[in-house]
Amino acid sequence: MTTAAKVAGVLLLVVTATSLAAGLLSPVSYETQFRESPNAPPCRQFPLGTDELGRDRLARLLYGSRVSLLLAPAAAGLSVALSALIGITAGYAGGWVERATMAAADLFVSLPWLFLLLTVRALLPLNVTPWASILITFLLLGVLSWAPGARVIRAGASALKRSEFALLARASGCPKPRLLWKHILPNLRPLMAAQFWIAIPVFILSEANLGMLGLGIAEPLPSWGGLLAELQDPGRVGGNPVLLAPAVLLTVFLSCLQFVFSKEDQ
Amino acid sequence: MSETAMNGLTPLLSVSLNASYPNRPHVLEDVRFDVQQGEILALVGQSGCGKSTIALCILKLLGVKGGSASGAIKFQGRDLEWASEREMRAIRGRQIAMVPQSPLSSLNPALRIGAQLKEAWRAHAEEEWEAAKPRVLQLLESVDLPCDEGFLRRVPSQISVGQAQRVLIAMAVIHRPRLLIADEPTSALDLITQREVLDLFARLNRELNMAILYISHDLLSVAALCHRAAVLERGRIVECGTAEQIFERPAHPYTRRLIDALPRVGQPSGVGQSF
Amino acid sequence: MSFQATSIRATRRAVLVAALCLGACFGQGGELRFSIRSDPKTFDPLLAEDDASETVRYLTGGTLIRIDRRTQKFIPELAESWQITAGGTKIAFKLRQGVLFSDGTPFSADDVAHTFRRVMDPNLHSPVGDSFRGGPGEIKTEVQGPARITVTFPAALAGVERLFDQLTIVSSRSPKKELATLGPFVLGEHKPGSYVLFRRNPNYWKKDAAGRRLPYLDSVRADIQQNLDLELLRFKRGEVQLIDTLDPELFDRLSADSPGEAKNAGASLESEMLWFNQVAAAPLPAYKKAWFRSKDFRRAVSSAINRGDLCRLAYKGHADPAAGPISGANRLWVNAKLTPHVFEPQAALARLQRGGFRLEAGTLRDPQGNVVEFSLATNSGNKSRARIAALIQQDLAKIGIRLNVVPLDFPSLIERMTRTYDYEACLLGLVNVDLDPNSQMNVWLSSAGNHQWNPKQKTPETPWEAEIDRLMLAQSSALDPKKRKAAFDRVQEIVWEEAPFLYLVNKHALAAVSRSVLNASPVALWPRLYWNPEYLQVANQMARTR
Ligand SMILES: Nc1ncnc2c1ncn2[C@@H]1O[C@H](COP(=O)(O)OP(=O)(O)O)[C@@H](O)[C@H]1O
Ligand SMILES: [Mg+2]
Repeated sequence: MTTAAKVAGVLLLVVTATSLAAGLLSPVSYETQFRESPNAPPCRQFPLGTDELGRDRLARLLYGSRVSLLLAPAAAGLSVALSALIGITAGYAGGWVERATMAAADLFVSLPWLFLLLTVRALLPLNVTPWASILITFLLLGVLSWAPGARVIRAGASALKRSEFALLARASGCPKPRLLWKHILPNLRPLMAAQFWIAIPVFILSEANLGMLGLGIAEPLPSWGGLLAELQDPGRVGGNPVLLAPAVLLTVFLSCLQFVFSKEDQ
Repeated sequence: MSETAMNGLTPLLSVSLNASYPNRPHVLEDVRFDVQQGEILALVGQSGCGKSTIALCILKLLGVKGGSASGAIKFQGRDLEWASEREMRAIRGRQIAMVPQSPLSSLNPALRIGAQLKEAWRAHAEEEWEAAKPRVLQLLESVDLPCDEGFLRRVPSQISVGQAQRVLIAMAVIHRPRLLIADEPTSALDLITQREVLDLFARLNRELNMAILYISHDLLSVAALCHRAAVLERGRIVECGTAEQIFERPAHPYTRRLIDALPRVGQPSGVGQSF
Repeated sequence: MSFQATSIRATRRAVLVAALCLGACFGQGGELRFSIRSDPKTFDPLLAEDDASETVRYLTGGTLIRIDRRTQKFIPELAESWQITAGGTKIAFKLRQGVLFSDGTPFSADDVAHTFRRVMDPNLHSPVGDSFRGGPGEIKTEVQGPARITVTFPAALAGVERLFDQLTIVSSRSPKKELATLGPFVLGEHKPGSYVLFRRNPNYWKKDAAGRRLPYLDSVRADIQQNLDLELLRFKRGEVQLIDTLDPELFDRLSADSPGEAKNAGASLESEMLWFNQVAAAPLPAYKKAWFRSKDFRRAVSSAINRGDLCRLAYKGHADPAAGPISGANRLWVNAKLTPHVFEPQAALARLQRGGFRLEAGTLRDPQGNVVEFSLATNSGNKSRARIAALIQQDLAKIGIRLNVVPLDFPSLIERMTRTYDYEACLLGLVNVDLDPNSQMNVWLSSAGNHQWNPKQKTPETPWEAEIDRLMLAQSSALDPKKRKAAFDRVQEIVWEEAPFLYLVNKHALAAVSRSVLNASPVALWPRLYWNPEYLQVANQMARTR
C-alpha cells in the first residue's frame, strides 16, 4: 500500500466517522432555524455560518455527509449487484437471452427517464417522511442504473465464458453453476469494483437533480447534492467562500476513493 | 477401421466426425479413427488442420467455441451422440480427460493452484478434499512439481509455463481417466521439459493403462511416444498406421512432406529409436 | 404618488432641458434593449396571449383607451373621449382625427368597426374577443362619420373601458393588414430564438410637450433570454438596459453593486398563497377532509404562520405580509381595511384545542386521535417558494403539526390540482394582471374551474361560498363603481374570514433600470418598465454617432 493510499484511507475513515458522529460534533440540529441570524458569516456559534433560513451550515454539512455517504454506496452496491446479475446471466447464457437482455439494456438507457420518474413520483404517496423519500430516491437510483454496468459485465462474462480456463473447467467436468461461481465471478470482481466506485459520485450528484422532480431529499433533511445545488448560483459563492465547503468535502472524498480504489486495482 | 476387425477387440474410442464453425464450414470432413484400450494414438498435422477441433468434438464441447459437429462418437462401446449433458459431465474429466494446448491461459488467473486442483477433484469425487489431499500431493510429486503447501498457494502468474503444463497434466489424470486427450502438450515447453513430459505420458500409459490421444505437430515426439499415428490434412485423415509405417513408408504425399520438413539428425528410419 | 399627466410632462421637460444643458446625450434616437423570456407566439395583436406577444402588441398597437399604468386610471388615446349610455350597454367614442397608420393610411371609425368585426369573429378565437363576449347576443357597431362610433353590447358590462386597453385597432384598408399599426413602434425584424427588433413608427400621432414627435427612440430590441443570471450579467455589461423582474437575491446583489440602478416599486400584483384541498370527492381520508373543510383548522394554520419571517427570510425583506386576494398595488379594488392574519401560535393552538384537537408529546392529534400530518405540494425549482415551505414547516412543527414538503414538477402539480385532486395542501403564486374583479369571476364563483380549493361545484357547498357567488354576480352587473367596490370588499372580507386561500406574502416589484435610460420608472402593473415606451430615452453610443 502506498503512503498516498494510506493517507486516503485514513481520510475516508475520518470523513465517515465525523459524519456518523454528526450528532455529537454539532451541538444544534440540522433543521433548527435561527431566524434572527440568516446568512451569518462563520463565527464561534456557527463555524461555517448559516444558510438563508438561519440553519447551521456545519450541522447540515455533517448530516448531509451522513445521508450521502451511507446511501450512495448502498445504492451503488445495489446497482452493481443488479448489473452483475443481469450482465452475467446474459453473458453466460448467450444466444437469444444475451441478445434480448442487451437490447433491453439499450432500450433502458435510451428511455425518457424524466417521464418515467415523474410517473414513479405520481405513484408514491405524498406523505412520505424525508427519510423515506431519500431511501426511495437512492433505491430508484440503484435499481434504474443497472444497464450500463450490465453491458460491461456482460462483455466480461462473455469473454470469460469463452476463455481457455473456462473451457478446461468444462472439460474437467465442472458443473455449470460451479463454473460461474468459481471461475467466472472471481475474475469479474475488479470490473464490478470499478462499477461500484464510479457509481458513488454519480449517485451523490443525481440525488440533487432528482430533487427537481420531488423525488430527492425533502425539507428539512440536508444532503450533499442539496448543499451542492446552492453552488449553482455563481454570484453568491463569490461573496461567501464557505459555500464551497461541501464541494471541497466531496472532492476530497472522491479523490480518496480514487486512491484507495486504484490500490485495489493493482 | 481395419485394425479393429483384425484384433477383434472393442476399441476404447471410435469416432467418425464432421464439424464446422459458423464462418468456416468443413473444418472436419469424415474424420474416422479408433483408439484402442491402453494405446497411444498420435494425431499429427499442421496447425490449423483441425486437431483441437477433434479434441473438443470428442468431449462434445465444440459448442463452447461456437462450432457444431455431427457424426458418431463411441466410447467404451457407448454412443456419446445421445448422451445427455449430465452424462457427458460425468464422463468429462473422469473417463476422458484433457490436457489443453496453452498451459498458462488454461489456468484460472484468479484461483490458487491448490484451489484449481481441488476443483478438478471435487468435480467427480465424493471423498473429502482434505482426505484426498495427500494423494494429490503424491501425484504432484510424480509429475515433478513441488508438493509443498506453498506451491499450492501460488496463483498461476507465479509459476512457470512448464510447471503450469504439469499442473494441467496432474489435474487431467487426477481421476485416472481411461482416455487422456493431450492437445499439443509440449508446444510451450523447452526441449528438456518436453522430454520429461513425454516420459511422464509414457509412464502414465504404462502404469495406469491409460490410452492417450496425443495431438501434435511435432513428429519427433510422436515417433518417440506413440504406437500408432493418424495424419490429418485440412480436416481429413489422409493416412493412418503404426508409427513405423508412417515414418518408414509414408504413403501419402502430405505425410512425406511433413517428414521431409523434419530437421535431419540421423537417417529418417532411426528417428524413432533415437529416443 | 399619483401625478397629473400634465405635471409629469412638465417634469419631463425640465429633466430634458437639464440633461441637454449638462451636455449629456439623452435625446432623439438610440436603441433600447431588454430581454423577453420567449419568442412571441403570434404577431397578430388580436390573438396575443403569451407575455412576449403581449409585449409586441403593447409596443406596436394603438388602442382607444389605455389604463395609465401609473395612476391606474383610464386615459384617452385614439379616442379623444367616450361616453357610456343606455344603462351601460352602449359606449360612444369620439375619435382623434388626423391619425395615420404606420404605412400612411388614415385612421377612422371604419377601422374600429372592422377591428370589432374581426375580434368577434368566432373562427378567430381571439382571447380579447372572449373577454368582450360577456353573455349571449351580438356586439354591434355603428359608424356615425369618420370620427364617431358607437358600440352596443347585448348586456351591460361593468368596467368595460378596461377591455379596450387590450383591443389593438387594426386597419380596414391597409394592404399590410396587422403590420400597419398605430402604436409608437413597428415590427422591424424577428430572428427566432434570438431577438425581436422594433423600429420607430414615423407616423405615430403623439407629440411631447415641446411639440416633438414621439417616440424618442429609434428602435427597441427585445432579446430572447431565459436565464435570469445571464440577464443580470448582460445588464451590468450594458447590453440590456432594463430588467423587469429580478428575484430578491439578484436584486440585492445589484443594489450592492450599483445602488441607483436597482428599483423597488413596492408591492406588486404577485402574491404567494396556500390552500387546502376541500374537494368532496378527493382521494383523501375522511378525517383529513374534515380538517381541511373546517374554518377553524384553516385559520389556526394561518395564524401559526409567521408571515413577517416569510418576507424577511424567503424574500430578503422584498415582500409584505399579505392580507387578502387583492394586493395593495391594485389601488382601486383593494379592501384597505383588511390586515394579514396575526401570527399567534398559542391562539392557533387554543383554537384547535377548542375543536377537540390535542397536543400530546409534541404531536397534534385530532379528536379521533389521528396524527395531524399533511403534505404541502409545490412546484420544484422555485427557491423562494422552497424557503417558504421550509419556514412554514418549522412554524407548524411548533404547534405539533407535521408538514411534508413535496416539490413536484409543474405539469404533475397542475394535474393533481385540476384533475385528480390528489393533494392535501398546495403552495403557489398568483398574479392578478387585470385589476378588475370581473377578471376573477373564474376564481370566486363556486362553479368555476379555477375555484381552486373546490372547483366546479354544481351548487355552492357552503353558505359563505353561496354568498361570494351572489356578491360576485352582483358586482359584475352593477354599473355604479361604488356598489361594485362594496360588493367586492365584502368578498374580500369573507375570504379573509373563511380562509379558503391563506394569503402569505405580496412580493415587491423588483426591477433594474440602467442609468442610461431616462423616463423609465417601474410600476406594479404589467409591463412594469416599458409602460411608457414612447417617452423612453437612452444615452448610448448609437445615439451619439448618429
Ligand atoms: N471458434 C472458431 N470459429 C471459427 N473458426 C475456428 C474456430 N476455432 C478454430 N477455427 C478454425 O478451424 C480450423 C481448425 O482449427 P483447430 O482445430 O484449432 O486447428 P489445430 O488445433 O489443428 O491447430 C482453423 O483453420 C481455425 O482457423
Ligand atoms: Mg490446436
